[in-house]
Amino acid sequence: MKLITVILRTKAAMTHFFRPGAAITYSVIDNTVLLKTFEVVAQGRSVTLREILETLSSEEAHDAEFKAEVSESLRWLLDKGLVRVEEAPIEDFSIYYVTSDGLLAWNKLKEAGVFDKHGPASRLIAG
Amino acid sequence: MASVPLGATAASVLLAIGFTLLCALIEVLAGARREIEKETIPRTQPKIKSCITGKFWLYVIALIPFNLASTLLAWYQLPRWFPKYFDKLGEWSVFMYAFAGVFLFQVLVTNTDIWIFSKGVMAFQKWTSLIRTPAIGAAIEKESERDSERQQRIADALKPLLSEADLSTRIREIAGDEEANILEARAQDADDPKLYKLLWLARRYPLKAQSILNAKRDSSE
Repeated sequence: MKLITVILRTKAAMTHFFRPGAAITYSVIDNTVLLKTFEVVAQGRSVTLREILETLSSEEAHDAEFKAEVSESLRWLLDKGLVRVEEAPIEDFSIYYVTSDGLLAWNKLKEAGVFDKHGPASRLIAG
Repeated sequence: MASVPLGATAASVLLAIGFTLLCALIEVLAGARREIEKETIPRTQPKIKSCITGKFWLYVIALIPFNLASTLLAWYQLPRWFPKYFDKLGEWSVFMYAFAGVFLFQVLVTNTDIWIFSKGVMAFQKWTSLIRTPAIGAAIEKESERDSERQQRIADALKPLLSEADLSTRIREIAGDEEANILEARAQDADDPKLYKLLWLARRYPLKAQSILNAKRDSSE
């Protein structure tokens, strides 16, 4: 798969106005699955793990290895504060939603031309 | 300017505040909407009450001074530019000042970026986006909490009222055989297949799940 490296400046000046004390951080997305996962959450705004898997690939949704990779990507996004989660008793129905930092990062990625603004997630980033 | 009564100015200001609220609400609602349409993702969109958050009010407060200033500018300048038109409007002109002040200002500002020496020194688009995005993020968070709570509440309420066989039949009726078979296969991998199916139904078809719950409650009373 093609490796894409995108530097994200995730926190902008006005975000600090709303979240005083937060430090400016730079994050690197260097993994295609991670990028696609972020895209689905950012475009869907609020989606379950099952919906993310089905949107990325209906055939791979059953694949445990693929699910583990997506889960790892989500953990990274959670760690960076780009995404948050509402836990459910069954992991597949935990709701992942994009944060304001995530929306700012998403807009920067779109401005950078990484994504086709109007294209569905499955059409993006050919491997 | 002296011919304009104070009450009319106050009315313009109040209308400008009202239009600002409306404008901010529309922008936050539009920002929180999904950008993709997929069969696998429910088509529900954020509700107005999810948009009303602390950050929404901060956004409105940030907009109000600019919108009031532009309304007062419109109130001062427009009758001088178009005296006949505003004479004809009479008392309705207060509405026009507020409308022009808020909406024309928004259009102007959100489409204007001034660059000097390759630096966006007056990048209004960026500024408005930076104060709007936290309000949109807060609306998405609130809506996700409501979705999660509703999903769990419906699943918990339906669990004792519906047998697994009955649930499977209803899912087959609602979603069709193909989708029901896929769900059945996935549910068998879960620790609690019935809860899996209930959560799926509550997420994918919330209105139908709610109507099943209402019908079950009515029949048990």
